[in-house]
Amino acid sequence: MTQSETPILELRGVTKSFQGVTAVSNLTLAVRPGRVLCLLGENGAGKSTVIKMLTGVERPTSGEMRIDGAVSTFESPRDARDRGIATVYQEVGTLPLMSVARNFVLAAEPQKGRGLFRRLDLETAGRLAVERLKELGISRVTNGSQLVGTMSGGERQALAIARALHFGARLLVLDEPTAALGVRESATVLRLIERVRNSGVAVVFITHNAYHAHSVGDDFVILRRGETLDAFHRGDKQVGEIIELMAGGAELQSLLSQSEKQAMQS
Amino acid sequence: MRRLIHRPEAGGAISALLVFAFFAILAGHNGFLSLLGTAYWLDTASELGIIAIPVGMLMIGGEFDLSVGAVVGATSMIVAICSGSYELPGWLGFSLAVVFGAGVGLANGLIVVKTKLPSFIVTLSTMLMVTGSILGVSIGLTGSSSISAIPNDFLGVLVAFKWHEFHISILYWVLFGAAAIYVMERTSFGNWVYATGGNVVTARLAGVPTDRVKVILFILSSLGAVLVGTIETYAFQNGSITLGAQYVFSGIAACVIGGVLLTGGYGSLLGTAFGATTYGIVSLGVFFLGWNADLTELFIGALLLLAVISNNRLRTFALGR
Amino acid sequence: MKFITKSQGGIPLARKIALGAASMGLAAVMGSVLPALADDPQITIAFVSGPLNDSFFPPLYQGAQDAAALLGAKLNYIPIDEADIEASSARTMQAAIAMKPDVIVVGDFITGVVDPLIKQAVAAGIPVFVNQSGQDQWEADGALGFIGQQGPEVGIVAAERLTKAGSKNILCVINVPGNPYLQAICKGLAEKAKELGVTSANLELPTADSTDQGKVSRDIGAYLQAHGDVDGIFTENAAVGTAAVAAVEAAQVADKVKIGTMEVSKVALQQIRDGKLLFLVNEQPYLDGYYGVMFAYNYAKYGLAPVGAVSTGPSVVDKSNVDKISAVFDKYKNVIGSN
Repeated sequence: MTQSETPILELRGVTKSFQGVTAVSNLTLAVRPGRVLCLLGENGAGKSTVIKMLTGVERPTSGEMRIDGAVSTFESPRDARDRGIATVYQEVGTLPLMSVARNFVLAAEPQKGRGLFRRLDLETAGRLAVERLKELGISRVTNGSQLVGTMSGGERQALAIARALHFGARLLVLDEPTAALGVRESATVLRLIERVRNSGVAVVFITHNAYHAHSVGDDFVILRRGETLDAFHRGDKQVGEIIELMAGGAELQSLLSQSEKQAMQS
Repeated sequence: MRRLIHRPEAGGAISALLVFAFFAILAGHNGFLSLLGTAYWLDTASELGIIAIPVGMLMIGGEFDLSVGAVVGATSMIVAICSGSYELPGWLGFSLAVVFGAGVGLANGLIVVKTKLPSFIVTLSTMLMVTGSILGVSIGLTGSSSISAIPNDFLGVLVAFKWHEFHISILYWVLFGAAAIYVMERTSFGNWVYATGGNVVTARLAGVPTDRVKVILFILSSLGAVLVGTIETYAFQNGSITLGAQYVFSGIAACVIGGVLLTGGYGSLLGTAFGATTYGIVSLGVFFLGWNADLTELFIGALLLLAVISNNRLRTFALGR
Repeated sequence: MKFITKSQGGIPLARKIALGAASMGLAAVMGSVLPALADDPQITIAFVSGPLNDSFFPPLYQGAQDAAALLGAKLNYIPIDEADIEASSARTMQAAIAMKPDVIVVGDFITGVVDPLIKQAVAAGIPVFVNQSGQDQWEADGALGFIGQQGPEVGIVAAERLTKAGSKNILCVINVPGNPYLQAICKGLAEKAKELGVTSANLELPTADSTDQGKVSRDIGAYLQAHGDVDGIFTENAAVGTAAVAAVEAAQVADKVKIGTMEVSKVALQQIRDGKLLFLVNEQPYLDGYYGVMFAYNYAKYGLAPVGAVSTGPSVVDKSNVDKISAVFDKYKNVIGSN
């Protein structure tokens, strides 16, 4: 079982506080290759602090962080990136006024020719981009010179993910990738996450949408005001229970009518 | 056809063609189409065009430079004081101007990236400071703000050569234009410029050294002004602090007419060249027609407005929305 | 608006502010360094005129300084900011009055603004001499004298010279569109031309071009292409004159088209020597400054002043006297011209 594989990233009893204010306390989680870890919680739950620790922006105040099994921390975001941790942002992941090819290779452009004639290899860039997108199930994009702005929100996410994977990411941090998307686009992104997972990459899927998490998640951590409310695996809980947990259990439960509760349980 | 119209330089090419046809038909018999007439508008387009190349790159990179005009004037004074007042070799004055220009560009760039203030304000300030300080130095050294420049070495030939009335600036325009187009379209740096202008956060997250990109662009922008300042000063052997004042606006106008988005991230230097061509044709065409010269500004103003509107249209069109 | 015309007029606003501010600071430093004579109380003269970034004014300022040094007077030169000429004309004159000098010398460029202030100064007991511009108002304002050049006379001299050289169709180039002083000169030229039986036309250059000699030259060249009958050109500053010379050379009509200009410059003097320029009209700005201070001093000290207007121009430089003028130009900085 994949569960036994060494996690790429592991937090053990990690606490992070800012000037005495605890943002995350006693958090334990593990991100394994080929698995999707869903980090759930409402606004202010501490999700962004966790992302910052996973991507090298912040270091834990106390507790243990393990990278590939060894106790360690990231020196910087760049260090995290170099070790294969990539973050994909929904809003700022791609540049709409540039072509697919140029977006795909940005800051790591393939070159051809030598000396003074060394130049961008846009053909290779375009070919690579189209191939990688196809691998992620995006087949509508066939021409590397197409402007990214003409693509759908889901396709743009795919491009950002494809780019990260192409440049060696083995752990993807997806920050609310479905937040501003419609139903169909969200489905595209969820399929993307599955494909990425199936290719053996580790995924941290940050969301406040329990349905989206439930449909693709393998491991779950629910945060509330910095505390770990619960941690469980696929199949342990129903969507309704997850929603309950996130919102604060009994409080929400008491607000729901009986029929709603039944609907959620089923 | 659709692909053609999608290109950012389409608007500039169309406007250049339209104004050329307009004046060819109405003023062709007045000498607009003669060798001399062609040289007139090409010379004008080339000087503006050289300014507009790096200004266009900077605008694509998401920033403005209002100090270019002041750097043209400052260059003019530096070159003239050196060669005219102190009888130093021309190349020395030019080198000093290059150092000065690069310094202004560096300062512009560093202030913009460090303070995160809009470049509009930062370069407005440096524009005033450049003019004020050079004027002070000039009056202190020579008691004047307008000085004769005396060509005394190879530089005079390099920047003032002309064949008939075709000025060597046309050659520089083509050379530097081609080089800049190559850089923008076929090198990583060009890709970084587009990305920086498109969204500086995205570019930085992707690993583009956006600060360095901007600083380099500001330096190039000032260096373009140094070249034009030197060319224009030697053409009439007269250094003047007010030289180049018009480029603050016409430089940006050429870029916008050429399809560069005011918000950055999109445009082309070929389009910018068409923008400068349009400007050159219009600003001389009115004289061939014998019309009131103020119509130049009316014409350019109208073209600019049309360009901004159609640029936004073209962009939405290009994005297929 | 007289002096904005003198050289480059079309500087964008913000840059003019910078120019004005810089020269203002310099002038303030330069203005107050002269020693007082031993016995009599030192006479203080406030001189309100144009900024030094306008190449017309350095000789005027030099003349004022030289006279002040010679006489042991204290000179406060207050430059008007051309970018904001109306408001600045008022501010500078108010500053001059507030300084309570013994005499004020003022360039009355914006008569509507400055005239009431001249009257105010006179009412406050400060004698005023009007310099350069204001030739029609100075007496009514209560000023004691006028030193300068009458605009239309420049045009008359230009028309006479060009016609005498054989020009039949004269082009008068206005480098700052809408400027009343420059228009008055071209109007004087047009009236005299008509009287002499030749035609004339005005060419107004766009504001944006006025600082770019190359463009001005091509503008004039293009006009000549379209108007092949032009055989005489008069320009209103040195830079435009040089540009006109280049334009007729490019169009290969230099033997046919005669050119005259205003304002002395090194290049213009050489072109007169080479026969490329027929003549130039010199206002002698050094004398504007020199006499301005001298008259002011004599009035303050002895109550003496010349009667009526004193003309410093139009004085004409042509082949007959160019060598003499050039020699002085080269020998003394900022006396004949600044450039």
